[in-house]
Amino acid sequence: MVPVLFGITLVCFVILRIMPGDPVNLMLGTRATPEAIEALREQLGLHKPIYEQYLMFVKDLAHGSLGTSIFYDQPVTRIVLERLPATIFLVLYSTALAILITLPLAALSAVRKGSFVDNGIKGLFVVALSMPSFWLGVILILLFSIHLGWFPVSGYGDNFGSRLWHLFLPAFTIALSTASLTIRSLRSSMIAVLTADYIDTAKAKGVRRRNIIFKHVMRNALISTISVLGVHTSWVIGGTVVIESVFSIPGIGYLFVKSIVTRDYPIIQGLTITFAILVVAINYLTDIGYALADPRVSYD
Amino acid sequence: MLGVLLAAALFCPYLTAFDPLKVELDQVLQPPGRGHLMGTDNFGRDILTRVLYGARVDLKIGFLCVLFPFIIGTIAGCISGYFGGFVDTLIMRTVDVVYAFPFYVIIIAIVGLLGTETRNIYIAITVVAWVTFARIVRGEVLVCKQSEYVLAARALGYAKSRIIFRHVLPNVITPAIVFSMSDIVLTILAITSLSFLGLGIQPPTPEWGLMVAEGRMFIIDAWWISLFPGLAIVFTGITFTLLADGIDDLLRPGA
Repeated sequence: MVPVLFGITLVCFVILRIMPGDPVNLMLGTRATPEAIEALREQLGLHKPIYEQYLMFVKDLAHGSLGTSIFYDQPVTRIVLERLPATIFLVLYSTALAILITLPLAALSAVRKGSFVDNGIKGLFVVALSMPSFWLGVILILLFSIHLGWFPVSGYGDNFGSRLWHLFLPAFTIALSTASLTIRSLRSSMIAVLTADYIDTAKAKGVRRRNIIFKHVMRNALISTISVLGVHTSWVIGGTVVIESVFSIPGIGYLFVKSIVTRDYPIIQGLTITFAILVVAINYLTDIGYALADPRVSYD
Repeated sequence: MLGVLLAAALFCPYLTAFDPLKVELDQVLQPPGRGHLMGTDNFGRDILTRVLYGARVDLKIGFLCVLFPFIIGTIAGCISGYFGGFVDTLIMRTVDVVYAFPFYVIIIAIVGLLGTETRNIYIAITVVAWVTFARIVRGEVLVCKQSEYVLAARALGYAKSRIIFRHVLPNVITPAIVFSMSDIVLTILAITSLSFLGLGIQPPTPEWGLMVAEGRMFIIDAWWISLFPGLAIVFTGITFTLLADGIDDLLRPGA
């Protein structure tokens, strides 16, 4: 963990320094006066030796300071914290939708393995996996927002209920790609579990089919799917960059793209660290979820 | 399906009479019909022509953006797995650090900072994508290096480079090849996403993601501008997904 954190800070530090040209000139533009350039260079500590710059960077990070935004002229930490809830809400909402889609379809596909229903579900999700999320988002906006008027085109909403409505289309877009992977994983696990002796015992004892599927089979099959879900959620965190841009959601993904366009380097650096921390956190939570789901798993 | 894609990419000048870059203001926003099977865009350019020429752009970048990480990741994985110790730790901790960053974040950051030239897209995707190949190959090498033929090669005094490239590599490369087929899908989706955000291929080059982005402004009245390039991406994704499954079955029949 420590080497990874060290590597993350090193990568985030290097990001600003790999740009071609002088970053200060790039930030201030061609009309900047020499005094303004020198003042910003001192403010960013760029006149100091590189190792001192890195130590300053790590020290500020340890105090929760990510610098000051050039574009907004506010602390980056404050800007990120204002927008982080929207992204977290979207990720959790899409994960919940993915689970709701996965459980019944994976169960149906596993129980009717080899049938038309199974092949149909598998085919549907090969197609879903191949769809670019930005295109799917545009098509869903065209159909459900513009033609049918069921959902808004963009935005975030004021309260919990309004947010569920505003974010349904973007969350559904993400959930489809997540479900494509989790259905495949859960289906494989369920097929393996369905052949276990204790399932035959449950059937022989006359346990209802629905109880067998959802209480015995699915509970044991879910374990590997939790890993897939955890890994994919890390991917989804990065994917919010695209989805939030399509649906104009005021989260950190949309902010990241805007800051690239405006060359707001403190925000780019701050958000890169934020994304990395979120991924590490999700990996941790996945490990905990795995241990909770399977009592045989323990960590030293 | 792969044949259709390759034919579109290779023979597009013969499949369509239109120029993908020529502006024809008297043909602006024409719906799909006889003259233009997929309609025209806001500059009067034929969508079908641009979709066909876009296949060249996306397939070329997709292949190269898998080839470079494949080569670098395979070599890194071989070295890491064979030598072990400090070298293995260094390479694998680097892999862990790269994995800590979401895929899109790091490539957008690199392309956004270095510039939107095609070369920088190759660099950005290679920097991120080699890690999966390295992990896959390293896992295979750890098993393979205990094999009798490798131990025999060592006992015969062969140079390490010879052992790695002539004896180990041919036996560990199969999972990497299988993965590279499905990685093409992810890479093409990444490239089209970059172009959609304005950070990939720049106009007026025909590129599917860029075409979807350009069509967004006209989505109500000219839905075809975004629809057909997106369908092309889906078709390409399905093709390579099925190809990956097929190659997996062929090369690893017991798996």
